[in-house]
Amino acid sequence: MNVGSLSETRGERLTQQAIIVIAALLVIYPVGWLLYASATPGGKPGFDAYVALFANPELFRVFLNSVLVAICAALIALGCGVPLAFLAVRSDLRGRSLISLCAMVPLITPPFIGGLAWAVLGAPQTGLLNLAGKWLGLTEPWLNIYSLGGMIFCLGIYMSPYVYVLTAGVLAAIDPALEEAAETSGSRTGDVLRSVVLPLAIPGIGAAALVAFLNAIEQFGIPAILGRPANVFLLPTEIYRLMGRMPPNLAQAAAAATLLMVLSAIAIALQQFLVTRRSYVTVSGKGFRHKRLALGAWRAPAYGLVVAYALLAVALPVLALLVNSLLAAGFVSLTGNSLSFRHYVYLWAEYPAGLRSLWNGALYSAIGATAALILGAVGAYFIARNRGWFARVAGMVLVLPLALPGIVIGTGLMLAYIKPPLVLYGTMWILVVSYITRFLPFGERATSSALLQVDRSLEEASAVCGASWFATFRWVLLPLIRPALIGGWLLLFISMVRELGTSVLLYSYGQEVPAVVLFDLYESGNMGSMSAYATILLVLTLIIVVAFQKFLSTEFAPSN
Amino acid sequence: MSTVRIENLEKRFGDVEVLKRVSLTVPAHSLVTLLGPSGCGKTTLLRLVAGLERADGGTVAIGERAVSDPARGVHLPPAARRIGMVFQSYALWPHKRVWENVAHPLRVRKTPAAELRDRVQQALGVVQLAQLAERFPGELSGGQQQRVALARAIVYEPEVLLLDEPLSNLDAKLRTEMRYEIRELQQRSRLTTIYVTHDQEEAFVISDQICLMHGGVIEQLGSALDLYRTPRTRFVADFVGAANELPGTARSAGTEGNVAVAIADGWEFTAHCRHRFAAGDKLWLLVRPEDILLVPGGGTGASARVVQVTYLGGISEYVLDAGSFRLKARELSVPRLAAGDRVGVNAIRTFALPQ
Repeated sequence: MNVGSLSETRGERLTQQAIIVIAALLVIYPVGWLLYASATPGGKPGFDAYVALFANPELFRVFLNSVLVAICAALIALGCGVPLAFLAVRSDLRGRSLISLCAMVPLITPPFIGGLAWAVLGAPQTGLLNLAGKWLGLTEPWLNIYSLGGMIFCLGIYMSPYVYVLTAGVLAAIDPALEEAAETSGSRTGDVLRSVVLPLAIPGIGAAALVAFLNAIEQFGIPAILGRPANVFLLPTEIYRLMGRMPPNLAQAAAAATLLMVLSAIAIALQQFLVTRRSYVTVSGKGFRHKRLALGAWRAPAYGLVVAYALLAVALPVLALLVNSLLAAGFVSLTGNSLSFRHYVYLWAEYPAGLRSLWNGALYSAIGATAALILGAVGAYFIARNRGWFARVAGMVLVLPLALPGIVIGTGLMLAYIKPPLVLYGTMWILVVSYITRFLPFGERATSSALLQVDRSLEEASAVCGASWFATFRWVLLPLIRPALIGGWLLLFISMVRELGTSVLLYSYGQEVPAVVLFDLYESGNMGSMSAYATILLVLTLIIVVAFQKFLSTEFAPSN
Repeated sequence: MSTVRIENLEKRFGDVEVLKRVSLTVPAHSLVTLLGPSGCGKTTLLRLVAGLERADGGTVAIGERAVSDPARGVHLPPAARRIGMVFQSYALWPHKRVWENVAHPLRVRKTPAAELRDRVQQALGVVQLAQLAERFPGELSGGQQQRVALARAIVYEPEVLLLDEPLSNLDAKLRTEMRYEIRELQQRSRLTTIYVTHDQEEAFVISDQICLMHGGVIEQLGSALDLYRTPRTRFVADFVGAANELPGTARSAGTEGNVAVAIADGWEFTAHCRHRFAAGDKLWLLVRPEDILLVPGGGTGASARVVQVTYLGGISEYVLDAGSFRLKARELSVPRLAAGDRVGVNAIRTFALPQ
């Protein structure tokens, strides 16, 4: 007997299962093509492409660099995120509540736009920070953002919010009685932190570091912007290069994409292990009142860290883009500058893809967000209310895209939808499908976390009253989880509008989307227009974030 | 072992005064219970003694040492107060084995290895958990976790033992057993102990003295017998056991211990009192249900009609209608009256409080 099907008819159940099968196909079909292509170099079965990844010194270098960059970026993210989380949750720092805005950084300056801004700030000759150095009397540029170090720095800065959010959650969830017990046992503050807080938080912090690693290794934007000018390639940019060659080396790209997928999967598996097996702290949503640690002499360095992070992650980049966009020349010159709106006018009136891309982005993302949310929501509901192998497999498939970097999905979709039976390449639908595929887990997660808070008995009460499954869903469940769904939709929409990794591979003329336009303007060296476009995008995002803050905040602070 | 002296202790959370100039002395080797409803300030008082909260005024001294005296800028951290504490949630460190949990207070005091081993073993022996030393807290039952918390609190022989509702997370049967165990442990170790609970029965079993708190002040400090037989306030009378409360008048100026009382319907009693009443003073007459003597058939004096009969197993409870008021009476027997019966009513013992 299946209790989950309390009031579902056979038809309703089949509908749910059909939706899940569609979602599964979206994910599995391109991955299948990817694996197939990687194992058939030159049309013949074989593992040459995989062997080359390690035997070819150039490719092996790319692999090593990718791992090195991601590890170093994760370490920087730990260095920023953990202290920030501690200051926000456990210290008596004044204005500490502002630190929680750190969680909003990816919404304001996503890594890709941050990377563009840092190119404006740290280019060897024209970078604003180097000009400032020159003005102060330095003869040589002191900063070259186009380097391995530059990528590590930028990725580290923009991965820090992930570490911050997860660590803050863990620190807030530790029962204060555990620390008080140590105090009454005779432990001084330092010892309490070392012998109780740290060991309890370590698995969670480790998991946070893995999330940062995962996000860093799959980033396409920053390596594309900061690495390629220095001829340093990482796996995502290498895949892009292999796909862009004439003729494209599909098998090699697919093999590299598979390797990237495996690395991501390993990081996720480790992270899950830490969270489920090693963690003593369960984030319960129960509000604890923690004693705040007096910082004393550490107050000044603490403020220093907060201010430095705000400057490096948000203030300087946004300012650089804004200033650049308002200069006639499109860059700052030490000999004299004139203000102008010509870059905005150019985007509006002359650049053909300018306005079109905003419209395209909004349209594709609205369709994509709605579809991903519906698929994710039905899937999450089904998984939450059912047991058995079907629900378990569905659960795994729906979150599988988390292990699929954008460039990997892009490669898979390209291979899958460029030839029959499904030819989507060249139409807008390949972009829409790629967004749905890539962000499916967001839709699932938005719903499942909300569903966890709805007691099953509420549905059962409705069923006992004689309501059908659909009526129960429509009139009982939906109103209860609506705020979470709205928040989920907005997050999906914002993420999709700014998606770069798959779009850059899959778009065709006429289907430009915002990230692609930014990337193009940057590639063609039109820094003034690029800055103007980025500024417009920032303002639009900010308007959405502020207007719908109420719904978005549910993503960051689980409500009771 | 040390006496704990609390004088004029004050604590505010924002605008809320949680403790209003509370003074209390806990004699060395004795166990004092802080009893009261939730929000009465009992846990705050305990946490102030532990140093987990900062006082806003007044002093706390353990033995000869002032551990908290905000007027002089004195606030010793918990670590320096030489206390042992058991938390409501036990607060066992989930990442340490039982042995390490109990050893921690000794480790931070840099106890030599041999002595540490002996002491931990002894403490685990006292709570009968020596065989579970290698387990993690998550692998123990609630009762076992409770014992580990107790062992951890006593392992280094603190000057004061503090217990914050230690039994409230246990099931009813285990809770009654543990009461006696904790009392026995305290008597054997002769630790000065402060025990917080909201359970009156628990307080009665365990305490030398009970400190009944309400709204941030101490309503009464005394033995279980004091609180039950000679309550200072209506709140005490009501919180400790059940009581019939009847408005009445002093018929004549009473003496130090007695007063003649008239209540509605011409009923008259001679009541015990702590207060000296003048003739005509309004007062409350308190009568415990088990102090009411029922005479079947009516008798000559006051009489009432039985309205409701409840058998509680061993005890029978009657609700009586005396005309203008109702009374509750209890007898240690099977019901011998039925609803509708008329009974004569006498009180063995009554107590008067000023209104």
